[in-house]
Amino acid sequence: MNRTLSLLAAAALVASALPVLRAQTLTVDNQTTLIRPIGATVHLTATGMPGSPVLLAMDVDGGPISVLGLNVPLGLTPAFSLVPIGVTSAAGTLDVDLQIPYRESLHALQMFFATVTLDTGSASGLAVSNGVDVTFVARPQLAGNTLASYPFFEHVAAFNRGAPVQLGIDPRYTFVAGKTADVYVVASKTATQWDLNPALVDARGAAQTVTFPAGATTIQQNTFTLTTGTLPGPVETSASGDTRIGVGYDVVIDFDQDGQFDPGVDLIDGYDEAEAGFYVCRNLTLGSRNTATAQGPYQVTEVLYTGGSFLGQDTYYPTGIASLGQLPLIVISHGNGHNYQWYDHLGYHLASYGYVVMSHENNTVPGSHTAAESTLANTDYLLGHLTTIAGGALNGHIDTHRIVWIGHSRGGDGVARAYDRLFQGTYTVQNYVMSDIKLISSIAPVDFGGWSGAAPTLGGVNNGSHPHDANFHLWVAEADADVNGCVSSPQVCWYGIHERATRKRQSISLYGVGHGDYHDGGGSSVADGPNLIGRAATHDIMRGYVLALVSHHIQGDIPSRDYLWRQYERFRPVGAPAPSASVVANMQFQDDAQSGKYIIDDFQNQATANPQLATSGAHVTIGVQAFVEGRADDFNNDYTDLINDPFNGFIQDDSSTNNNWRSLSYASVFEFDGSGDRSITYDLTTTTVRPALQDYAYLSFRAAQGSRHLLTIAQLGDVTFSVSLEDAAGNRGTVNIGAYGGGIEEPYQRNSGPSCGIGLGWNSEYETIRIRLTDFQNNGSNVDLSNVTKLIFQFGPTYGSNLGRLALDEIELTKK
Amino acid sequence: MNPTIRNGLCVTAALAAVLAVSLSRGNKAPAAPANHQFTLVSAQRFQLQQPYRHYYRADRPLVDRGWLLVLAGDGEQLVRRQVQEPVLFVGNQTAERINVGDQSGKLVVLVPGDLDLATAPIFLGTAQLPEELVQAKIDAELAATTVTPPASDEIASALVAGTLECANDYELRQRAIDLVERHSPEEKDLIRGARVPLIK
Repeated sequence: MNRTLSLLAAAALVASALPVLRAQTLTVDNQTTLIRPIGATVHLTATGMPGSPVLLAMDVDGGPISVLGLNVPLGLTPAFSLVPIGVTSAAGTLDVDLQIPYRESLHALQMFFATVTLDTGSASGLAVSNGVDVTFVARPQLAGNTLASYPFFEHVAAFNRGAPVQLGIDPRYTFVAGKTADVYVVASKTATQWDLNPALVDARGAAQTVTFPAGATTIQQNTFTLTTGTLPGPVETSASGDTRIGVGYDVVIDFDQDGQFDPGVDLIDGYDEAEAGFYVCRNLTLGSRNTATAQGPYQVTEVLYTGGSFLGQDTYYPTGIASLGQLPLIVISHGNGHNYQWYDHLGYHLASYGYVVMSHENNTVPGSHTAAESTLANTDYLLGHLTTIAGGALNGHIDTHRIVWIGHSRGGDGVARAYDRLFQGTYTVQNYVMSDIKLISSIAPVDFGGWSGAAPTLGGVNNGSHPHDANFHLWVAEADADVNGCVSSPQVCWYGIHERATRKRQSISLYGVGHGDYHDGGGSSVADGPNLIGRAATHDIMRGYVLALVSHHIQGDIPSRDYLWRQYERFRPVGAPAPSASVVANMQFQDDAQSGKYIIDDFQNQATANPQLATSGAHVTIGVQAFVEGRADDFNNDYTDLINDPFNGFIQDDSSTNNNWRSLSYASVFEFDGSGDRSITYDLTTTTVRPALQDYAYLSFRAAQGSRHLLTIAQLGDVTFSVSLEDAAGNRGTVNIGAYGGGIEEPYQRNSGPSCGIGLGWNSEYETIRIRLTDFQNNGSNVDLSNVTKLIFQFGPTYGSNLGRLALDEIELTKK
Repeated sequence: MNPTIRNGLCVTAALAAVLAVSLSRGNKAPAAPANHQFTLVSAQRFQLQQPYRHYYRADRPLVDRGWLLVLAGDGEQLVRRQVQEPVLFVGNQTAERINVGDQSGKLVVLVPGDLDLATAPIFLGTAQLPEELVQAKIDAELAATTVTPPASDEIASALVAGTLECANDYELRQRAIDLVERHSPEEKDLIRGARVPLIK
């Protein structure tokens, strides 16, 4: 630093002696000493004589040495290089952005920079700026789980309490090779807190000394157990007041073993203002009742009251709400023939985590258009009568800008139609606005409104079942005997509303669950199909996921997100039943455009006209069998497999004569019959805007098995396949999707008589698969994420299941 | 898979699909039971000081008078579904169902207007959403039904003397719930939920 200051002082002196000249200075991000992550872009500002060419000198040694009478702040080692970067302006300045290469091997490398410009006032005719040193650091994910197959490790955010946590770092982070270090698991701090207080205090009681083998070639060799499951999560004792989903921890590898986090040398997982390295999560299902064993973080008070006709409300809130500030509001709208008192399993549960939950009387018998007005009116009534409801206990304690609408069956359609009314401006409310609705969740909804409510035979009231730009979530009951998903009746097909949603959207589909299992009103499950799981198991799944869902959308909770997309077979809330032949959960999770995602192919734009051209412009080489790109619509409206109905079983779209009845949802379907390996290859060099994969976190796509297809029947189990990334040098990393647990689930083996076609298997069920991009780099694949040229989906005996019939859609790169 | 075998299976599947089309299709809305005859158990006129909106037809008329009826029928026909259900008509008017009645077979309903029970068949029409019904459709349903109006002695025994005077539909519905409690007492959640404290 002293040297830098003296250089600046010297430059200032020169400037004062030669007023026509500018001082020769260099800063990077307005600093002269700094630390920056690999892959980051830094901003160089150089000054010097106006109109002078500027050379950037770089070295790994800061010198200084004297050359031609010039004081050069570099060591002139063999690594020294000199690069022209431009010409100073008339004002004597030059601004240049410089991207630090994304090379994990650069971690802890300190580079020294200076600029060389012309100087007519100096004897040499040249001037050298002050020096700037930049230390490059890698910020890898460290915490995760071992996997039985490549990539052999998954870095994740959320761990259930009691589960082991491991540290894994690939050998491409060459800095670690042969080093002995202390590993700390620290109560999470923000980056700012780390900067202010770098002291390391291990939450386990003591740091753990590890040695990374010299010459390691696999991540398995660099894997260590951090905890066997003893790290504490949120306090789960009855009425603890601790509503956190997870407790955050950061992981630090302290290479100089000094008990301090040195940001230029030590590796850290969790150096972030918002996100910890990992989270130990609670039992999300706890909190269904006000009993000692089932109580959540807060004691809950339930009140029943009415404001008049169809304004009966059952409201749940933390008993101690007076000291809890403003809490989000969750509104529940029941279905036809149901009752507003049938949602205790959600009301008590969510209220015990700090939400106000109001389940209301819903005018469903006339239809879901009328039910939508019940949702709108009851929400407005509650917010307009806070001084009187519950004796005023809620007054001032509801955050009217954070509202969730949950609806069941006709009520599930109603909440989407209610949002449509606000979106269309055809319904006026007094106490909230459309943007206050942060999430809509439809449970086994009917779909009477369709796209716009203008369907020729139904709807007809200009009120679509359309969530538009609201975040949307869908619960599906695959054994539903009422809203049963049979393709012959569009209004009982579940996915239309989901496909219409344009914001972040997700779904959870449960096999063996009936329509009545989603409420707690007793009576029949209203179920039809094999392996029924019943109401209690359904609620055990529901409670955990609904809490994660609202925590993610309302609180921005980070670990909650993991529950919404990781394969149920491998990760699910504590308290949710283990997967089995009966307990099957398929999840979709798609980020919205605002997240900064990159769409490689969503099949929406070019339909069947040119399947060799992806949405991104990538050229597609199709090496699978029977590839068809088109609308995800069971064209002949029954589930019988038919060769000229390639999207058999798909109910995302409807291209029937009811124009725009549902959505315009395109996808691809294809097959591989076991006779050899097959592939679909995207040439990313031909994309309109080529993505730099190091700027993204995950490759995400959704896939489904074709219901009742001969190859699906032959497989009758999860289908797995592999995905490869290949870079310009031909390096390739290949991940089998089965490495993360599960695969693409076979359709629910239901046949409700002949009414929905011949054969076994219900609708074709999408699941979202997300692969962390850095996983493709493990164990010496050498894939350069900054220069990936090909994305290859590979099928067949070498790459997973021998055979199968699949759909593929929504192939994206996501930021989170 | 042998291509020949595969093609053969595809043909088989295609034929099966053709056959399936001739069978009943999907989760169609429940069909209206032909000639389902309700018995009129109780009938009382009502009059309101403050009208309410009748949501069971597309024009949503305001209602300040009508009939509070108790009907007896086949509970199987009253099971609630989320899909379109057979709409309950009384004459040329749609009826609002207060309770479900699938277990008791007893249905409490509100029927707007001054209709003459002696000329108004009480029937389940085709399955659709009441909120979409216009008068022409309702008239068509009435014209198509073969259900006969209640007999005069049935009306006489069901008729409750006097007009039920209420300030508004909330009060009216409370009286309707009293009837639910009497005729369909197993619907405890509905009854309890209707009698929660009214916030002024």
